[in-house]
Amino acid sequence: MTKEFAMTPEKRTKMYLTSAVMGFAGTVVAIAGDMFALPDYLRGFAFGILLVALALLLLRRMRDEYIEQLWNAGVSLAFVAVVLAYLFAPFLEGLFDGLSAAAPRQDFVSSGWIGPLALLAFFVGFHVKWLRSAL
Amino acid sequence: MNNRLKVLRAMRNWSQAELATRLDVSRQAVNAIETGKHDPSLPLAFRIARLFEMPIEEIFDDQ
Repeated sequence: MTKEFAMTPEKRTKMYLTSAVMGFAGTVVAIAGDMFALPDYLRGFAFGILLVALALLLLRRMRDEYIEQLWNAGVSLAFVAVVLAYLFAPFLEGLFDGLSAAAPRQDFVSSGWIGPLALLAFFVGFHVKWLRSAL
Repeated sequence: MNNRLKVLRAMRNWSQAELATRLDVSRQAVNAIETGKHDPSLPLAFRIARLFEMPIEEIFDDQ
């Protein structure tokens, strides 16, 4: 293998960051696909991109300190988002139902959307940390 | 944490990419350390000190 094809830390980081961008795009399209009933092939493609990106992000997160920091930022925000949503979403829905005199039933079942929320929060945290460190 | 990494790098006419290659980290990591956005781990701090042949305390300042 010649030198120009060797995987330098710089190339690894660029590949990692590209995966993060693609994963973010895949997450947004997948969520939009559920909300707006997009075509199945689009949703499938988005999920495929997301899975590949997540695998790469998970397996390569310890390769460089900078990458590890970005990963940690994403994971931290995802954890906080999940905990807050799990604990406070039913309360907020009850508050809304009470104030608006809506039917007292659980409209937002957390099991359905906490996963996408966690993924979205992960990528938001990742990209915010990335952008803040780059500026 | 403040550091003199940028100054020491400039004294040797190294680019960020060159320094990153010598430290086996990404250029983004070097940039984040130089701009104070990221504090290096202890092993990396020791590698930096060995590369510049200086004590860690002369490169990094936590005050």
